[in-house]
Formats: sequence, C-alpha cells, structure tokens
Amino acid sequence: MSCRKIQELLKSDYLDGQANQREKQFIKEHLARCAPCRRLEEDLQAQQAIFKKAKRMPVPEGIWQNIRQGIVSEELKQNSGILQRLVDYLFAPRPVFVLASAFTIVIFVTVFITLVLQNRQIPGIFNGTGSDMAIYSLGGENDDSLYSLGTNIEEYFL
Amino acid sequence: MNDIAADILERAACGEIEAFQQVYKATSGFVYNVALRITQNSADAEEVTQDVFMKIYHSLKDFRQRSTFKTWLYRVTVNTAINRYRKTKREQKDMLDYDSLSGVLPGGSSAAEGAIQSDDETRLRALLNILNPEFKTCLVLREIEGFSYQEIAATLKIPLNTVRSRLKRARQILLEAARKGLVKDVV
Repeated sequence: MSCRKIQELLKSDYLDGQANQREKQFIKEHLARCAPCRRLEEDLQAQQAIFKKAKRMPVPEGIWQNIRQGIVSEELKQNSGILQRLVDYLFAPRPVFVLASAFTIVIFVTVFITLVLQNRQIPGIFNGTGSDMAIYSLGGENDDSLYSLGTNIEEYFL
Repeated sequence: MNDIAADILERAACGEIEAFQQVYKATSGFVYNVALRITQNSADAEEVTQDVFMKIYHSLKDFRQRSTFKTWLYRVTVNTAINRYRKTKREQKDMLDYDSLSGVLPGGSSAAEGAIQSDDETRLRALLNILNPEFKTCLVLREIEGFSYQEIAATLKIPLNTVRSRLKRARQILLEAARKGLVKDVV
C-alpha cells in the first residue's frame, strides 16, 4: 500500500475507528517505518484532541419559555380564528362595485316580483271588462239604431 | 441525546405541551450545541433551537415514522443551523461591505487571520470558522457528537463515501491552515 493510500485512510477510517483489523495492522506496520506518515498521524491526533475537548454548553433557560409562549399564542389564534373570520367577513369594508351589484340585484328582484303579482291580477280585470262587453253586445242585439250609420245603404242590401 | 419513549412522542404529537416539554428536555442539548458549533454564535444558536422546536411541534402530528424521529430531528437541526449560518454570513458581508466603504474597519481582516487564538475553545472556533458549512457539519457530527458514518449519511441524506470524503477534505484543510500558521498550536 502506498503512502498516499495510507494517508487517505489515516484522515478517515483509521482516525475514526472505522478501519478493519487487517487495515489497522497494515497501517501500524507502515507508520513504524515511515516518518512522514507518522507525522501526519500525530498531527491528525492533535487536531482531533481539540474537538474531543469541546465543552458541551448548557441550553439557555429562556428558550423553552419562548417556545411555549409561541405555541400557546398560536393555539389561541387558531381557536379564536373561526369567530374572528366571521366578524371580519361581516364587517369588512366592501368594494363599491360589489355594493352596486348587490343593489342592482335587489332592485331587479323587487321589480320582477311586482310584475308577477300584477300578472296574477290580470284575469280578474279581464273578467270585469268581459262582462261589461257582454252586456253591451246583448243590449246591441235589440237595438237596431246601434248599427245604423245614418245612410240607406243597409236598406239596399237588405 | 436521551432516548424518548414512544408514548411521549405520541402525546406530544397530539399537542400535549407537557409531553413536548419532555421531548425538548431530552433533545435540546443536542440541538443547541450543534447549532452553536455550526453558527458559531449564541444568539443564532438560540434562534435555531427555537425554530427547530417550533417546526418539530407543528410537524410531529404528521410525522408517522416515530422510529426515525431522532434522524429527522438531527436533519431539521442541521438544515436550520446551516441556513441560519448562511443568512448571518450574508448580513455580515453586507455590513462589512458598508463598513469597508466608510473606512470603519481596517483592511485585510480575514476570518483566517482572526483565527489565531490560544485556549482550546477559541482554537476550536477558529478551526470551525475555516470550514464551509458542509465540511463543518460533518466534522461536528463526527468529532463532537460522536456520530458514526452511517448516522451522518442518514442525517445529511448523502452517500457514505461522501461522508468519508468530506471528513478527509475537512481534516486536510485544517492541517493546511495550521501549517500555514492560520491556527495557532493545532499541530
């Protein structure tokens, strides 16, 4: 195994304890007789020691309070959401054209209903007029003067 | 990270806040510390932690695969932290551009130059500052959180060989930075 390959393993599997037994043995034998690779291994160990000494920092106290507050306020917002949406819907300012459209529809519906009601009353009106006409025509049958146009032409044809 | 009982997850998923608090107690240490290492900023880490748990709370009821809860939490944490880190970087860059124009900051101040530090914690921060978010995340999960290659691959949704190559590359970058004297006393 070349120094290059050994150094690759030193920087990963060997340093991290991932190398198998055979690789470990081979590398150890190589390090015993190769000064540059040995130096690299020492450097890597020194570097790793700094990481191993890293202190674990305590989590600041206030973080959970902030999270809890965030969760509670979001839940309150969600619970009041339905009522709030209804209030918003009812009292939200409407655009002019929406109001104008609604007003037009109301007028249209009112006029339509009025016309329908009027049409229902038309047969009654016709009934009254019809009876007047019937009386008029009955009266006319017995009254010849009703059909006289003031000329003698009728007599000619008759 | 502590194990979470299945019934606690179920209750938390139903919106029970006390159960969710137990989930928080068991996992917030991991979330905060990973966020802190990736963002390198305690204010950002706090925001990331809050964001992660709000996301978890909202999505838990729809999350059916309770067995992979931890992996899911790891992924949400890492993604939220990386996004936060990038956002802060952009904002800092904008501010830096403005400050440079107005001559407030001295020229030539790079992250690497500012990385020459003494004690362990500041040295660690300096090392992490050199790396991009992807390499940094891999290294944090492996070296600080002790994840296996498989766990890193599952968390980041990347192939195992990509985990291996990112770790190699990250370590190589840090060694080169140390040899150039950008990070003091590392090697």
